[in-house]
Amino acid sequence: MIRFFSIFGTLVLALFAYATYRGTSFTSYDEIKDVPKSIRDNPGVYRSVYARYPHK
Amino acid sequence: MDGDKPATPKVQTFKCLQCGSPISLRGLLQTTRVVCSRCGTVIDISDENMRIIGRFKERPTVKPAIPLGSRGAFPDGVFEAIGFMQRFITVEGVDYRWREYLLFNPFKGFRWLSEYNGHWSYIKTVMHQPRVLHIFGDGSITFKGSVFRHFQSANAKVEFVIGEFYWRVEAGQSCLVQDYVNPPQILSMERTSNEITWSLGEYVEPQEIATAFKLTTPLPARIGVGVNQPSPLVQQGESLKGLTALFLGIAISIQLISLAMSDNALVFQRNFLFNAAATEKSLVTDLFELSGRTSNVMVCTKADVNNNWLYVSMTLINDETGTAYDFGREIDYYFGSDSDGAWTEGSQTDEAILPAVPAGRYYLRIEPDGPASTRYLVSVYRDVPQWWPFLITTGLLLVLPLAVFWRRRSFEYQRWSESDHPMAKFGSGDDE
Repeated sequence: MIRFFSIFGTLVLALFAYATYRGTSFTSYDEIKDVPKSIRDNPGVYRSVYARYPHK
Repeated sequence: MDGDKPATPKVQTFKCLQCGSPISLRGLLQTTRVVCSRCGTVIDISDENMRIIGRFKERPTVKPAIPLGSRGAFPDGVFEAIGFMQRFITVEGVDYRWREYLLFNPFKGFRWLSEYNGHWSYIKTVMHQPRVLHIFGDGSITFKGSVFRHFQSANAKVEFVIGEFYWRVEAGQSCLVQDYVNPPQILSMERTSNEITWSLGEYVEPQEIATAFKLTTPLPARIGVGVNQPSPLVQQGESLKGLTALFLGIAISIQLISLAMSDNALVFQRNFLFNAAATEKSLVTDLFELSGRTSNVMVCTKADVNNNWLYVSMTLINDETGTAYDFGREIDYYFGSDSDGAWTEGSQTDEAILPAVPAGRYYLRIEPDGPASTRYLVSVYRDVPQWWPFLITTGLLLVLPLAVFWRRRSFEYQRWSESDHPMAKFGSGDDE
């Protein structure tokens, strides 16, 4: 049991240290590569998967 | 002759004065009384003219698990079982019975084996007088530097006896018994009208008894927790305690370093107005710099919503690489009052944290939606310290130690349940 706890505790601490260093979160998000540069000039060209569009 | 080796048999045999059954004498000159295993007649053999001095009303019905005459090897010598008795105490109308075996070695003297609910103790009379402790307030004592907690005081009565004894055993003979425990040891005091005897017992695993006496028949099964049975989790619990303290110390250090090193820098902040009537609602912010190592980004939105909501679809876009982090947040805040009084629901503020965002020049694309025009403030923070990973880590590190603690406590709860000082259950707030 001590051996198991030693390994378990070390892994948990390693994960904690990594998460603390890199930053972690429960926020739901999507990472998208290479979005068009034109968004800066025309924000409407981009359609977010998280956007809420009213039903008509 | 070495006392560690089996004593040379010097068994005298005579016939029971009552039933004629053969009776063997193994305790040499130290035996004063012998009880016939067949008819329960008590014979005084302290003088040459043996005489019947009594008889147990009930014939022995309990067969000794260790046959009288058999020898067992113990760390301090080889002893022969010469006497067996069953005694009992009555607590709140319930009889609790245990069995005792008198062991003899001509060079070492007498020892006892006590068995209750399948739990065995190897007992030796001691001359050292324990000292009463007052700090626990329960009559606990110290003996040779160890604290023994008072377990139980009761009047013990002899129920029946067979074999030889070095004192004048009689049916119904009673004495005050006080037990004190410091697992795996038990210290017992027996007080009669004319003497006080202290004895020290050590818990013995049933398998060791079976091996010592080379028993082929099974010993009584263990029931519950023995009075002085050592908790199997004590050793592990102590090691676990040290390791847990070490891990928690490391976790706290990591968290403190994280708090001290985090930039928690405000890199962008601006007020916006959501116009519900506008055709194109989406907008982009100015560029802002996220510097330093790959770390988190917190986007904080505060909206003037009152009994209303605002949904904000946001995209954090790296202007150089085109990598985008797309997410949506709803801010709603309602309040009012009813028969229970005033109430509120939701919040005017929302915090979204994006993990592991590399350094670079970024901007936000914001696309709000809602039933009414609303003012809102967007703030972006870089490298924000967080508490929840620390709390989850602490929780994970404590799961196993708490489970072991609970099992240890459960073990002790069972041990003390039959004592004069039962432990309170969890949450009753009446612990001993």
